[in-house]
Amino acid sequence: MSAALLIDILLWGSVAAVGFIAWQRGPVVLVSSLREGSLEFINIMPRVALGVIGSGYIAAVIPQEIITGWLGPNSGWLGVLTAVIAGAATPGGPVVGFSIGAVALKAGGGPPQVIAYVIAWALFAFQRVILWEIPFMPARFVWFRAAVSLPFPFLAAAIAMAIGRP
Amino acid sequence: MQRIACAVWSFGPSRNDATGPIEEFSRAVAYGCRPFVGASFHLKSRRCGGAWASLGYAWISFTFRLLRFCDGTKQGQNSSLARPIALSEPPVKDPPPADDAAEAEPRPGRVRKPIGWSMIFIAVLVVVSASLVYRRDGVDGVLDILTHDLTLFGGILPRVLAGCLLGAFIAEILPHEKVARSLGPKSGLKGLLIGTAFGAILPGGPFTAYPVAAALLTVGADFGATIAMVVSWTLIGYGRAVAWELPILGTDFTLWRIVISLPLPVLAGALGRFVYARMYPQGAPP
Repeated sequence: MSAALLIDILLWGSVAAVGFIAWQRGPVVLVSSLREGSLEFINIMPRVALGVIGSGYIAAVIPQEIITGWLGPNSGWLGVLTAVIAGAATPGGPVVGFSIGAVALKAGGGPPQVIAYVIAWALFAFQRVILWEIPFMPARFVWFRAAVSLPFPFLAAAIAMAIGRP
Repeated sequence: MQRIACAVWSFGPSRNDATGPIEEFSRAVAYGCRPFVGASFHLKSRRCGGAWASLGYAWISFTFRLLRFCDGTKQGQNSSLARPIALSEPPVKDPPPADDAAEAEPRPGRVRKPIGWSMIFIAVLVVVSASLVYRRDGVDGVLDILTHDLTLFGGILPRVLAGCLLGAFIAEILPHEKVARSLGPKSGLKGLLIGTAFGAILPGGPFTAYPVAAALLTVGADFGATIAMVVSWTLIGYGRAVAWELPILGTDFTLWRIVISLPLPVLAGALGRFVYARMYPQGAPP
């Protein structure tokens, strides 16, 4: 709980700090940023609501023994491999990816495997690559980046196993 | 559910036979982004029921955003407009002067489609799960989970607001152009570190990160630094972590996940540079 409090203090402290810098640039900058931020918040709220409230139900119905079998603490590198493939294949935005990660954690998944899942999803979820990355950037760069990123979910899982956290 | 399956299925064909639009996209990124409207219509014309309708909506709003982005970009790209850059050529061959790069920075705005198909996907998943819980545990089971998750939701709301405000402020005050200057192929570890830091503090969603990364590539950043930036944005960027991961996965997991991810962008950038130098020893692809 103290970590959460620390995060809150850091968060609102940085909001105040950048808000002060914006205010120094002029009140118009401050007001327009405030408005944009609030609009974003209103925009984003239904998604957060759905993700947070929904993940409880998904966790309640996913058969725990399957998750613990696939991604459980004893699943080792096979579990990590499964997690990486699952992460790459997960469609949708952050709500889906993190919710499935949360479900896996709540249902007894091993933290290194869940970390591999979240990082693989962040690095090369096929839907984001195809819908967002390719349209904006040279395709050659995108495939190059995805290929170069391939070892890193495994490396992250190895680090997590080595330090025994989270 | 069928809609979703349909959308997933349709990515395959559209990716395979859409080389035209995709090539157009990449060339557009390389010199001024004009063909985007045509390209989006290309993709829109392949329909697949309701999912494509919502995708079509996404594409339209996407196109408008790109046009706004291009207005900011064109002045900065005049020097490379004279010569078309093919897909197989390096995007960094003929960078405009660094001063123009300042003009080329897109204003990081944020427009979200109100209902994306990821929302529909998760909503369907939640409804199905909730009805399964109802069949298994009755109304009490449903209400138990609901009250627990509502408490959680109430607790994280202020944090989401703080994340949104922070993103909006940083989008206004960040000196993008100064960072873009020190990311070239010769920038060494420092360039990778700058790319990592830049990605970590970059506000906004994919709408911000990918256009900025593409702009970096065109104004002279190399693959390594840009990879470091993109990977750092996805892995240690505060925006996604604060708005999504922290509430959904919890503080402990998120913090450790970020700590473990800290070295990854630099390593990915270094590996990218290493492989790139081996693949293209002359600095130019075949």
